[in-house]
Amino acid sequence: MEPRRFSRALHKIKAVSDLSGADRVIIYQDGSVTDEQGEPLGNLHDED
Amino acid sequence: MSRASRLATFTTKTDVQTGRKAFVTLRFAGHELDPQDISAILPVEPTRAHRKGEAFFAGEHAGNLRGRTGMWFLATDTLVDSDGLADHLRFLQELLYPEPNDKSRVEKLRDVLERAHSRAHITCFWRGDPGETAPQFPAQFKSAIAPLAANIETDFGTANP
Repeated sequence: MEPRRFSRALHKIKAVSDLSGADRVIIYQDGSVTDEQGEPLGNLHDED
Repeated sequence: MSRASRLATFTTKTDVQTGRKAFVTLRFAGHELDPQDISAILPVEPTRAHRKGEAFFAGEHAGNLRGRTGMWFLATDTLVDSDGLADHLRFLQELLYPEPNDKSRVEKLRDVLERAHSRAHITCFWRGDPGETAPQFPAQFKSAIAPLAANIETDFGTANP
């Protein structure tokens, strides 16, 4: 994924999950994003 | 003419491969928040809205998820046809203040937030091209949203050459 697109998608997923930029998340190869406890937050491929 | 269409006066070219360089998000969040209370005040379709524990569709890849908290969320990237952060902030300001001295929406929002023990948050995203200078955050916007006690977060950077 192109870097700007990646940053934009991650920014949106964190914001809509009520997380700040400093909050750590886990990003998987398929684009899934979870919080540190493994709770699903979204998918990078859905955000563009 | 819609507000978004009027703001299209400020368009700059967006690379279709990399998409929008700037946008802003506005969210109201809290465990007791009913997003319908926010929608009753702001005349715009939220990007996402759900109550705490409510199932929502997060996209084709993510599928259905459950709300971690009550949420009313708006991202301006699909509403404002511009790569200028100032245009996205202006959109938000006009949403909150339909007329310069009309504080009614902000006062109603403040009441809802207080009742629901919830908070307002604004995030600003900007990714410039190599060597491009990051935009300034307008002090005038900061003072306009002060009554909401919104937390403001900036995510500014430039692409690697």
